Amino acid sequence: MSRTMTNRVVGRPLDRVDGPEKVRGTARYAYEQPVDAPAYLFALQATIASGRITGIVASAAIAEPGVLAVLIHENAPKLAWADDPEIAVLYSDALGFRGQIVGGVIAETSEIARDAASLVRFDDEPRAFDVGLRAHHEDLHKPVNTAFFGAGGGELLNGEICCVGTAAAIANAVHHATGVRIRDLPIALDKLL
Amino acid sequence: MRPFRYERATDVSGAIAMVAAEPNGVFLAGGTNLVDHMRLGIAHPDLLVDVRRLTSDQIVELPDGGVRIGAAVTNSDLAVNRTIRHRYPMLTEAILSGASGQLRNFATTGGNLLQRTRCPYFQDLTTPCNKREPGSGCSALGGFNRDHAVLGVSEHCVATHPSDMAVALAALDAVVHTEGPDGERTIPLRELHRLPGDTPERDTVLAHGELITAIDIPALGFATNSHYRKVRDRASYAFALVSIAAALQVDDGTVRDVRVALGGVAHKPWRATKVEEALRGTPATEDNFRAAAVVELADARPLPGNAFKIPLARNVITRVLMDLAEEDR
Amino acid sequence: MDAEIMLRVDGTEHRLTVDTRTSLLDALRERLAITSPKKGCDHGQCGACTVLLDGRRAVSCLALAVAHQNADIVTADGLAVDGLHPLQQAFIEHDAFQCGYCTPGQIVSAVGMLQEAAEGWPSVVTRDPSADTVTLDDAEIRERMSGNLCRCAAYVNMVPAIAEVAP
Repeated sequence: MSRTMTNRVVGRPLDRVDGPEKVRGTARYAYEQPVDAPAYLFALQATIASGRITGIVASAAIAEPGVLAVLIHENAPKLAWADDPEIAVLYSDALGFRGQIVGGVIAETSEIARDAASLVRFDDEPRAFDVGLRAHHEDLHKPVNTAFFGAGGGELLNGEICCVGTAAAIANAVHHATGVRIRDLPIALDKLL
Repeated sequence: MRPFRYERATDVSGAIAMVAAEPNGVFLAGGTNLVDHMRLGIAHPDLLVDVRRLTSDQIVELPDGGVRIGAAVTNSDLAVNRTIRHRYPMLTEAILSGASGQLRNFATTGGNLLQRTRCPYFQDLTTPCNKREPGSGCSALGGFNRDHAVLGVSEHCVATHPSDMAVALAALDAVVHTEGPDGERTIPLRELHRLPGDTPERDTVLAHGELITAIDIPALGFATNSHYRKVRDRASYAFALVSIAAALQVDDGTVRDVRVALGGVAHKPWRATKVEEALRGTPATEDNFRAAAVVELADARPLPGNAFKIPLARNVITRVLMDLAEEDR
Repeated sequence: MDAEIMLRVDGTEHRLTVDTRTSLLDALRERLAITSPKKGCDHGQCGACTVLLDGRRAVSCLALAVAHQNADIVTADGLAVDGLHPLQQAFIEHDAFQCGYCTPGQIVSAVGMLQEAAEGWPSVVTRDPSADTVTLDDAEIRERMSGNLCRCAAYVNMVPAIAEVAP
């Protein structure tokens, strides 16, 4: 990037190119892309915190006029690659949390989809769960990789850098209060005096 | 949401006849509570009769100095009305402390009184609730009950009434006008809402097809010295943990007259008659205010999550009365 | 159950068939493809669906379309009559949005709010609720806009944007 380009852009209070559309509400988000004859899905959600689905009765929902399908783990199409548990929705009968999406009713209108969803019956087998945090939990273990973003091998496979600059925020506060700009850690009293 | 018929009647008696004839029929005004409940699946009427333009949307002065508020007056219009702001500031403050600007613009006086508890277990079809399904149990008792009642509770229900406006109207001895299949009647606002007892499914004494048409507020000179104070987790847009509507008249250091009602503590707005009786004719001092508050809360029954409401209510009563005593000098 | 209604949206009349269950928000977004008002919570709590309904700001998700037959509706798109509304321009200049999803609702709500203040409406933070006029300081703006949530927390720039346009 040339020097002139840098000076035209960096550090300047530019208006966002999508600004006019965003303030008018005309910028299109994913749901708002125009589609011919859309169908609408209303999600079905788990009501227990842990366990598994043992039975589903969707016949009443499917019989409703305007309902096109009821998607559940038994009939949902499978993804080509589902190694990531976050995107492998509707893959098993396992219930991991209350509110977990376990299916969806698809219909010609959103009102029909929502109403038909109330007609789907689930049976589930709850499982005991332990969500109490305590220092001497018998299941405690130290993760192997905590610093890499998803680099393999460790027990933490998904890493996301924490962008919150806590140290920077504290340094800013110190500067605001004292006028002294500290640029390396630790932020200590001897650097202020 | 189940399919339903939507009808507009031409007049109040027509609307009443329509709803009375349909066991699953209801009135629709602003819809800011009803439509939400229909979407949550906890209300499923077969018929909605729109009354938003049928009852009066006017606030008129009565010959005796009181005020009549049409049931269709919006919460915003009621709060900003100049007569209300000057004569009954507690009512303006109460309404403005509730909901959001958008909701206040469409919620009506009648509808506000009939809004239902925000207890999360009532609003969740998957958790047992005696109010929704009598006999199924009360999930709040052994669950999350921080927001729940400490006065007038029963083992069947510990829900609170969420309205701020109703608390001020209770303090002001408002009277509710209704019209129903059996004709017209008036109900003191303090008797409109019920305590849960063993029939928590019934929030009010209204019969099926009975429509609120207006609310009268009697003249009350010293209501010009009144406040509504709402204690809540956020600075705005949150329901009351404890709230108070109070009016105070002090003459030469003595309490000449006083009105106090509490919100956030019971299944209905709680008129603090014990506070009022204890204070009338006594010196307007902090000690007396506090002693009266202690008496009012003496029968309070805390739950594991809401015990803080009892000292909080005592403090709020004491503090607001002190402020009003100061302002009345 | 279906009903035929007319809605005037941003100055244009639309005739459409709706289910009695259809909210005003869904009538606009799904039946008329007017996606300026957004669906955030669908329970009247977030304000992303705010429109001007017969001149007053309202949450359109709790309004039934069939109950607002012939209503006059203004969305954020409709506020841009001759170019952007001054408040829309102020939002851009003050960088008062991040993802932008709550933004149309914020802007319509703010326009409605400014009108209410111009009419002398007090708020719960107004020191003298019986005074005839209102001065919109930051505390007043925050209180009056409390019905519009922003998950990106752009509030810090929305307040000066609104303050700039407020008289």
